[in-house]
Amino acid sequence: MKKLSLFLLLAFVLTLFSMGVAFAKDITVTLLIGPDTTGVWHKEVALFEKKNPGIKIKIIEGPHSTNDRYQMFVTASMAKKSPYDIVWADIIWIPPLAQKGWLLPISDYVDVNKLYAQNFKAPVDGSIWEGKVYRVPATSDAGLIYYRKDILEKAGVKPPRTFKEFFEVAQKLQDPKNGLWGFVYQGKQYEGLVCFYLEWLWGNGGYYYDPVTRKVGIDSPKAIEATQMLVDTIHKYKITPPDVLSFQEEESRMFFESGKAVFLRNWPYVWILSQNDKMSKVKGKVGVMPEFYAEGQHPYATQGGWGAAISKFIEKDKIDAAIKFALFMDSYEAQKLAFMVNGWDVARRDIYYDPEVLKKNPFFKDLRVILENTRWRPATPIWPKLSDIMSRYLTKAMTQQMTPEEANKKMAEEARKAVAEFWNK
Amino acid sequence: MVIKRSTYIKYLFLFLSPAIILILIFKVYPLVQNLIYAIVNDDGHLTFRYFNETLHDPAFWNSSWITIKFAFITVSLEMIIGFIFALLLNAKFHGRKVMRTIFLIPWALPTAIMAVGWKFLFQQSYGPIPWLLYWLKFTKSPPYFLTDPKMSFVAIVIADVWKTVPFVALLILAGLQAIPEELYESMDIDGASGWGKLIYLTIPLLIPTFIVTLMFRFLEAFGVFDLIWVLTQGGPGNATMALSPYIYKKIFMWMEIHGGAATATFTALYIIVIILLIQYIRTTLKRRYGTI
Repeated sequence: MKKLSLFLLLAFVLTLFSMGVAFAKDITVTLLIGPDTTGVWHKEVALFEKKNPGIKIKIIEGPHSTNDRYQMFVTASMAKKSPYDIVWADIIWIPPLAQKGWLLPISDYVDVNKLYAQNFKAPVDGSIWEGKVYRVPATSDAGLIYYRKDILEKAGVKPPRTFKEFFEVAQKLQDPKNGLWGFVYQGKQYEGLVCFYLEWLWGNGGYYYDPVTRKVGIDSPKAIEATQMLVDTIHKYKITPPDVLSFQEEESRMFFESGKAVFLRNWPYVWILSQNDKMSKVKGKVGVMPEFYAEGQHPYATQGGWGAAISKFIEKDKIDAAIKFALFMDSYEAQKLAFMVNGWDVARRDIYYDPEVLKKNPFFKDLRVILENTRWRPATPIWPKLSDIMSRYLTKAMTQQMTPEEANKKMAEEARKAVAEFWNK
Repeated sequence: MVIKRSTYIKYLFLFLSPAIILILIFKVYPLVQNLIYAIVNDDGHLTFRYFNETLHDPAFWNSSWITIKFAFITVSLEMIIGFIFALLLNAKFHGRKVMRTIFLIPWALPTAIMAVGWKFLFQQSYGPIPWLLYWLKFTKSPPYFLTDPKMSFVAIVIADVWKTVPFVALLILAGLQAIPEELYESMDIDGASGWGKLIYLTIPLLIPTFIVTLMFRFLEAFGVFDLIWVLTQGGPGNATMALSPYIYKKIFMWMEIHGGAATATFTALYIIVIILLIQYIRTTLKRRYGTI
C-alpha cells in the first residue's frame, strides 16, 4: 500500500514537472485592450501565434471607457507590477506614462526611420517622448464631419464649409419637433469633448497650450468665440439636443444612425458601421467631410490613434515577444486584417492604396488626405489634468453655469496654475 | 478549570491575531502610507507644501461643501424615511416577513449595479423618470437629471436614499423590537394616545439606535464614491464632485499622488470631527436619559 502511494506521488510529481517543462517553452504575454466586440483581436492574436510558435498572447479585455483602462494601467504601474505587459495605448497616454517611467523605451528594438517611412507622421510623432520611442502605432484617427447626403440634396444645399454656413444650413434642415436635430457630437464631460472642441478652437484661430513655449492661450477672444459657438449649438441655434451632454462616441453614432441628426462629428470608424450596421437607417445616405472652420482659417482634425506600448515592469525574457507582437500589429497583414474585420483607420499609408481596401471603403481615398493634416492635442505629461480642466469648464459653459468668457478665463487660470506647479517643483 | 492570567492573555492575543494582522495590513498600513505620501516629497524631504496647496485649492473646498451637503441631506432623509418604514414594518400585518425581505433588496444590491440601473432611469432621452414627470405634467419637458448641475445632485441624493433607507429601517426595526411590550401596555392603561406613545416612549428609547445608525451613515456618506462615479463621475462641471471621487481623480487621473494623499488626510480629519461630534451628543444625552 505504502509503495503504491509512493508510486502515485512520484507519478504526480513527474506529471507536474513535465507540464512545467511544456509551459516553460511558451512565453505568455498579456495584452490590455478594450472589449473585443467584433472579434478582430482574437483573429489578430490567432494569426500572430500561428506565425510565432512559442509565444502566447493572453488578451485582457478592459472596459469600454478609455479613461478607465488608462487608470487600470496607472494603478498597476504605481504598484510596479505588470499585469498588462502590452497595453493598447492612446496617443495622449504616452507623455504622462513615459514621463513617470512606466513605459519601456523601445528605441533599441525598433527602427524609427522605418516607422516614419511606413506610417503617417502624426501617429509616429505621438509615440515619441523626449527623444525615445515608447509605442508602435497601429491606428490613426482624425475627427470628421458626417452628414446626411440625402437631406442636403433634397434641400438643394451644398455641404457647408465655414461655421457661418454650417449654422445656417443646420438650422434650416433640422426639424426637432419630428425628431430630426441639426448636429450631434461628443458632449459628455470627458476627453472626447475636448477632442471635438479643439477642432473648433483651432479652426477659429485659437489654441489651448503650447508645450514648447509653455504658454496657455485659451482666454483669447478667438478661443472665447469658439466656446460661444459650442454653447450656441444647444442654446442659441438649438441645433443640438441638450442630451448631447451625456453623449460619447457611441451614443452620438447611434443617434445619427437612427436618422435623428443631419450632421455628426465623430471618428473615421463610424463610416463602415453606418453602412453595414443592421440597425443603421442611414445606409447609402451618408457623406463625409473635414471639420468646419472660420472664414480665412482652414479645417483641423484632432489626431487620435492607438498603438502597442510595453510596460516598464515586464519580465526581461518577455520583452522580445512583446516587441514582436507590437511590430506585428503594424505589419501589412495585421493592418489589412484589422481593416477588413473592423474597418480600422490604420496607421500604415500603403493600406490606403490597397485596391481591395478602396473597394470596400472608397472613403479611404479622402481619409488619407485628412490624416496627413491632423493636429495633436498638446504633448505634455500634464495633459490629463489640462484635459480635465477644459472639459469641466466647457461643461459649465454648456450648462450655462458660466458664460463662455468666464469659463475660458477660469480654464486659462487653472491651466496656468497646473503648468507652473508642474514645472516648478 | 482555572486559567492563569498570563496564559489567558497569551491565548487572547493568539485568537485575536488574525484580526489584528488583517487590520494592520489593510487599515493601518494604508493610513500610514497615505500620511507619508502627504508629508514626504519625491526627494524624501519632509514638507507641508501639499497640505498648504490643498488648503488653497478651491476645488477642495468645493468638494468639501458638496460632501457635507450630501451627507447631511441624505442622512436626514434616510433617518426620517427609514424611521417611518421601520414603524410600518414593525406593525403586525399579514405577509410581514415577506415584506421585510423584499424591502431589503435595494440594500443587498451592489452599489455600482444599482447605480447603473438609476443611470438608465434618469437618462433624458429614454429614461422612465424624466418622461413620467413630463407625461404627468409636473414639468414642461422631460428634465435633464444627469446633465443639469442642480438636478444631478438631486439624482445622487435620490439614488442614495433609495439604497440606504432599508438599512436604516433595519437598524431601527431591531431597536424597536428591543422595546418591551409591557411598557406600551402600561401606557395604554394610563390612557396614552398613539402619538403620545411615539413621542414619550418609542423615540426616547430608540436614541441609542439612532446614534449608532447616524454614526454608520455619516461615515459612509462622507466616503461616498461608487454611486457618484457611476452616475455622474462628479459632473457636470464639478457639481457632484464629492471628496472621494475628487481624491481618486487627483491620484489616478492626474497622478498627483502627494496632493491626493493630503486631500485624503483632510477627509479623514472631517470624519474624525464627525465621530467626536456624535460622541459629544451621546454623552450629553447620557446625562439626560441615563445609560445609552
